[in-house]
Amino acid sequence: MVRFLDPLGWWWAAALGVAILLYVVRPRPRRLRVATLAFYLGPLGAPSDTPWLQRLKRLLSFALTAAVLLAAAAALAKPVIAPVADGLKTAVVVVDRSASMGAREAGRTRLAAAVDRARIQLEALPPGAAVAVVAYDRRADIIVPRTTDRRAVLRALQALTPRPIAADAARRAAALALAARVADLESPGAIWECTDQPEPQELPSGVAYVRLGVGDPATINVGIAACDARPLPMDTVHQELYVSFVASVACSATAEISLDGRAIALRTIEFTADHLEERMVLPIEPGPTGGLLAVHITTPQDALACDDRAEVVLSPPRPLLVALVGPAPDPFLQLALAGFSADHIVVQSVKPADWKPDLPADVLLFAGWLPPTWPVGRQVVICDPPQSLPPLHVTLLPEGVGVDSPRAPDPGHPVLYGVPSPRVTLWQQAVLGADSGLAPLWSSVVGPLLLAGEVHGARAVVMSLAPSKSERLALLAAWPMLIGNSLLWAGQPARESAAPRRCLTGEVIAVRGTELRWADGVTAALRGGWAELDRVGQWTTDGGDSGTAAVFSPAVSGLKMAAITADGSPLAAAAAAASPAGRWGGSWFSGDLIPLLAGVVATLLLAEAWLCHRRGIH
Amino acid sequence: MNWSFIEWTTPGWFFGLGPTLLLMWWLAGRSLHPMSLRRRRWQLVVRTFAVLVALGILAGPVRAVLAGDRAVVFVLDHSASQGLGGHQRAQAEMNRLAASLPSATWTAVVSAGDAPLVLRLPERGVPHLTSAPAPAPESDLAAALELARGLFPPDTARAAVLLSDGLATRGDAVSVARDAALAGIVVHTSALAGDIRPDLRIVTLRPSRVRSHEGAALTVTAEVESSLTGSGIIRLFENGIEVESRPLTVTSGDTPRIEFRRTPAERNLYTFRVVAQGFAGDTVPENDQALALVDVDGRPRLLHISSDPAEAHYLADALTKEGIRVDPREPALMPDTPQDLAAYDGVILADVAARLLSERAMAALKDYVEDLGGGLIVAGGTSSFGVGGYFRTPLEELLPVQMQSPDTEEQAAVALALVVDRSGSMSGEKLEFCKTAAVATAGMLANKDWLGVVAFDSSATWIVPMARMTARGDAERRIRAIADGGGTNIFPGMTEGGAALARTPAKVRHMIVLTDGVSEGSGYPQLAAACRGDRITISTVAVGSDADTSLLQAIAAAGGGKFYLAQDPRQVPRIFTQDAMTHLGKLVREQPFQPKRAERHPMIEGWDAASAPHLLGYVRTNRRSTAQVPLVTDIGDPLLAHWRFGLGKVTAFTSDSGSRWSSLWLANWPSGYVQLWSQIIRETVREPQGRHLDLRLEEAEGLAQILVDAREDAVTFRNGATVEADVFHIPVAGSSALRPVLHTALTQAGPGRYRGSFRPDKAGVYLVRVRGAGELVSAGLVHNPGAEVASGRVDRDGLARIAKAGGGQVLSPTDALPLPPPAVAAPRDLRPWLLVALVLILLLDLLLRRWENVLGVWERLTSRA
Repeated sequence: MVRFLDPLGWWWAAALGVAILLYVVRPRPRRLRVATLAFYLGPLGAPSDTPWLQRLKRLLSFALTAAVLLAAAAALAKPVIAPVADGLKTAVVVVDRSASMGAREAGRTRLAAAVDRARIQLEALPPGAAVAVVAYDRRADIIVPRTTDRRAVLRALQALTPRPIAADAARRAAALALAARVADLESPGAIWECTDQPEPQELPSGVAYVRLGVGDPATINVGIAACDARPLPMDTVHQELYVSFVASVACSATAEISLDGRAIALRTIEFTADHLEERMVLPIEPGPTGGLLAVHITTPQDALACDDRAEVVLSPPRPLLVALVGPAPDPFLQLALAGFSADHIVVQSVKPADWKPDLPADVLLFAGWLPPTWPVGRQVVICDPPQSLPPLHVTLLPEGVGVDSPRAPDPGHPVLYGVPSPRVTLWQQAVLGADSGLAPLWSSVVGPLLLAGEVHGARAVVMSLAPSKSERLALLAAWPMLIGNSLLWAGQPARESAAPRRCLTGEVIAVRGTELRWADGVTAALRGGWAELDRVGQWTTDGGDSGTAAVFSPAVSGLKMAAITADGSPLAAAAAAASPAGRWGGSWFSGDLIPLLAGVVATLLLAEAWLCHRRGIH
Repeated sequence: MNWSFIEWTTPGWFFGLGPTLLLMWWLAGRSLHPMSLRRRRWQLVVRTFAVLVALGILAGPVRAVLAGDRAVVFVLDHSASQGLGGHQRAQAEMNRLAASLPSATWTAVVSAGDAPLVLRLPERGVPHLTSAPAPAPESDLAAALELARGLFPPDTARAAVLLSDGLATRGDAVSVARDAALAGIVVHTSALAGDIRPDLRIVTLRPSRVRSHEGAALTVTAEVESSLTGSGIIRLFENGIEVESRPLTVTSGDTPRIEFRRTPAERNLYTFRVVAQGFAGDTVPENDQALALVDVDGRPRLLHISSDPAEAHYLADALTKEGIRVDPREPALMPDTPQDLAAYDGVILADVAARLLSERAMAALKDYVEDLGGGLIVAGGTSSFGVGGYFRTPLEELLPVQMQSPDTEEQAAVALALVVDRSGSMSGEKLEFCKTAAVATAGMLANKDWLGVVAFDSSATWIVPMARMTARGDAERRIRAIADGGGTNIFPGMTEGGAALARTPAKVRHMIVLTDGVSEGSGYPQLAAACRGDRITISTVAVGSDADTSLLQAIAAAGGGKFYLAQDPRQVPRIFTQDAMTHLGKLVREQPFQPKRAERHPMIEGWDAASAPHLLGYVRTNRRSTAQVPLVTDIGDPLLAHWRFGLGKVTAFTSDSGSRWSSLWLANWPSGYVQLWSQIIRETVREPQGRHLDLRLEEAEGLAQILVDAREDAVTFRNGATVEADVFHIPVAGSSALRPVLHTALTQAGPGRYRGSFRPDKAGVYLVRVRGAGELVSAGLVHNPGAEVASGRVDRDGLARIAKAGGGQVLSPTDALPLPPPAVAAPRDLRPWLLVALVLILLLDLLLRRWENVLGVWERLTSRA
């Protein structure tokens, strides 16, 4: 229905009085002197109208004039066509600007469609009602604080663009809670949420909630829902890549994976209605400098571009750096260490006198020697501890004990990988114990001789056995396996932490520097050391930080929503059909009618000019 | 105010300007209007303007202005820690800061309490508050800052000032300040101490380590802060049970540290709660407690339920030698919640009759195995499986064997007479359970078996005449129709039942007599002995404590049966089925036999079945189709059966683990006994946490992230697994029961890495259990947001962090409020002005066009004058 937001504008219709006055009051006949010839020739040259036609023309001219004036006055009264929203004092438009709202449907994004629906709602608000706009993705922003300036609100809404950031139920709930607080400032208030998600399970309390849903379930999209590469456990060279592709509907797509621009995998994926996710796992061997791994998926009519590409910066392979600290390490230990390839493990010997807690190494290997205090936060492997070092308790066995087939309570532990415990015979030097998270891996009749676990949050392996006295250990492959496993297992967290930062878009991270630069050249100033990753791709800062950001959301790539009405039609279409604008067609006849009336005025003026000058209607 | 430029919303309309002007000029070029040329030109100009303005309106003009307006929202902490004095100081400080602002600055005020309040909407000038809200029990600075973000007038330069002690009990104010900064709002803070009132609070409770090993000493330190002088008690609760309490005397200003040394002896997740009590004059009791969580790792731990402690020790000793901790319990003391059972890696039921376990305990056992991945080992005996009344119980569902004998149809027919009391005292629940028991017992019989049901009060009535079980439905209907009657006289019922049994051709004849009262008459033992002479055995069941138990015991003794006392009528059905299965002679086979390997299985890997001595008996069962049966008896009945049930595993050993049937193993072959049982246990119990699944919890931005690393083995990631997380909450005070919060499937984010999240919003412990790839791991997160204080303390570090995140500064009492930077350009709609201009131009156009009429009007006016 048509409503007028500023009815006082109708006072301008008083100008119609002038037109009526001029129409009603005509000039009195006057005596004019004209030439006789002209007097007689005039009627011959221009055939005169009949009186009724003259009256009709005058009436038509007046009607056009009145219509123009009335249209202008009506425009000043701010007419709108929109659902009635009487009584509301505050309306908060909550706009989902997350990545899925960027899906293009029928030539425009879901966000644009949602904003259009919000516009119609807004134009129905009483003039004095305040409006605020909250937009959310991973975080909620008050885009327009409470205001009665509708134009500002509409401009802000139209300026909103979808961001390549995934939102989840928790963020959405936080945005709605914030909106509820703003709406509650002046009751009664309402929240209008523009989203492609279904109605939230818990509606905000105290305010009315209206969901302005958009989205077509048939929209085609294929995207990368997860992508990451990690060093393989117990391996210093190879990495494993995991990629998950998700489609919104059954379709065909082509995935391409390249390393430093060189294609290493190309696959065509057929998504079916029952199988909308496809996973790929690939072994990767980075080059000497690491490399940039790029994953790209394409499909015809893809609705969303931000999830089609992902990049992973691979850390370069480097050997595990081990600092061997001890006065005279067991020769079999040195033999085992010497057997490791320099590509995998590099051992640096350090004398106890040169010991310092910040030795540059991934793993500290103490052989027959212990520092005065436990090196907190360092990954440690201890062979033959000579005394206790809290939290490690060592009870030395002066004579030692021969152990045949040590009992292995946890034979699947990575430290025992490939070590055949039942076939091992060794010489135990001490009984080990710990009042922390070190668990026994090997035990004999006298007690544990091999422990592994965490101490102060860092991995540690402790063994008390004499390889030189243990023929069936030292000369078997089990011994270097045990040492290698211990070093690799203990050093694994250090290697993983050295990987470049891989973030999700929308994360706000602490970085160094003043400017953040994206791979495509876009820059952003850093405020207070915080950077919001609101784009997809590689980024660096002038402070030396770098990483990648990607959307990685199965919900976004799958365009997950429940915007389906009971009869199965898309909710947006159903809503459009239910609204006056949808019934009457075109946006000219919905919402703000000022453009329509301005168009009417211009058209009438042109029409009247034609009638006046060319048809003698005046 | 600076003019800048005009923007057009739809500037495309100006493309119509040229054609429109050409059209207008063309139309006016050969005008038929008799007006003068000069007037026509003027009119053309005016009309051109009108069309131009109309097109301008269509183009949507917006004037962008640089608004010099500034707005400041003050956020005042009105929590209890501030007190009235603190509130007044905050207002004074706010007024001081506002006084330094230009008079045109918009100011608004928000109160930060448990819920934020707007004390003043944006207005120009210094805020003057006439009232203040009452001190709130909590302080949520984050919510107040968020609300402040929504109050700024449009197109203003914005700053928020937080006047607080920085002690928030909820929310993440740093994150909100950071988001505000990203939205162009500068957040400053001002440190204001609240009133000092008598208060004793627990500042923190810190364990010396959050992960420990069983048997390792642990120090839990409570840091106390006091602004009162007095005495009270500090109590320490461990998993909801008070384990220590200490008297404490404090004087104002004291910050004592109280250390508790604990030595968790068993693997578990330990919740420590410390509570201060009895301190007179404490004005803020909400801050008198704190929580800590310690994850204690250790050896596998088993719950060993056995009804005979003398027999239980054989298995317990063997397992202890293998480094497995065994916790022995009697059936009545078995935990009856899955949460309590979750502390164990497995449960052993060794010869336990179903009637000794509560319905709730059996349901908990099922949930423990199915949902929590626990292991269950059921060892046989004369009170287990079918003869233990497992028939049609939740326990039977769990087992890889069925309770009925594999060759029931081939056995000789049996006859059973149920003689049940229907006297007035049996009415209600007792009679209903009695009927249920009779129906269940009837269900165990084969078609060729005989059944008769006699109900008695003062006299006996045949409910189901003794006949073969060919009309089960009819028998069940008749039993269900039994109604209560008058007095109690067992004799006629027994006589009828005995006579009917004697007439049957069955080789095995058994009678079960049930009553809840004292029977009339005499000669019962003689009657029972006579029945015994007819090869009829009699068992008796006394329901409730009013029954004549001595008489019933005498009848059972004379009748060669068993006596049962059912204090709870709900036990009656299981007693009936257990007794029937026992005495009908179908399920227990007590003959020496040599176990035979039937299938390969890790349970019997390396175990030499051929050299095993004989077992002396077992309970006959029937294997389920999907079960694995590594060992069978000499006649092929299942001896060792195993299957996976839900997330857990269940193993049934139909012989026993004690001296009745395994005596030759215990005496002559202990190594084989220990090896078999240790392998059974290791293959059945829940795998140790973290073997292939590693769980981490991280809390950031108000969200708890669940991070799981899964491996196939030591060198291979596990990809594509279904990993699910259950989140439970244990409140900081009150019941320690787990409250389910969330069940969610984690999504794979990388090789072997799975992620999920939840929002911890209540104080207490959040326990997260993650299941995947047949493993279950758990970890806890303490959400200890803190409580109000009354010590006048100020969290200056916290306020500094908020100011830093918000791009502002911590204001000292002498600082002026830094003015916000200039605002951005703001749009103003120009269409109303253009519309007014259009109306005026139209009037001018009208006057020009109707100039003669104007003159006419003028003439009329002047002529009248």
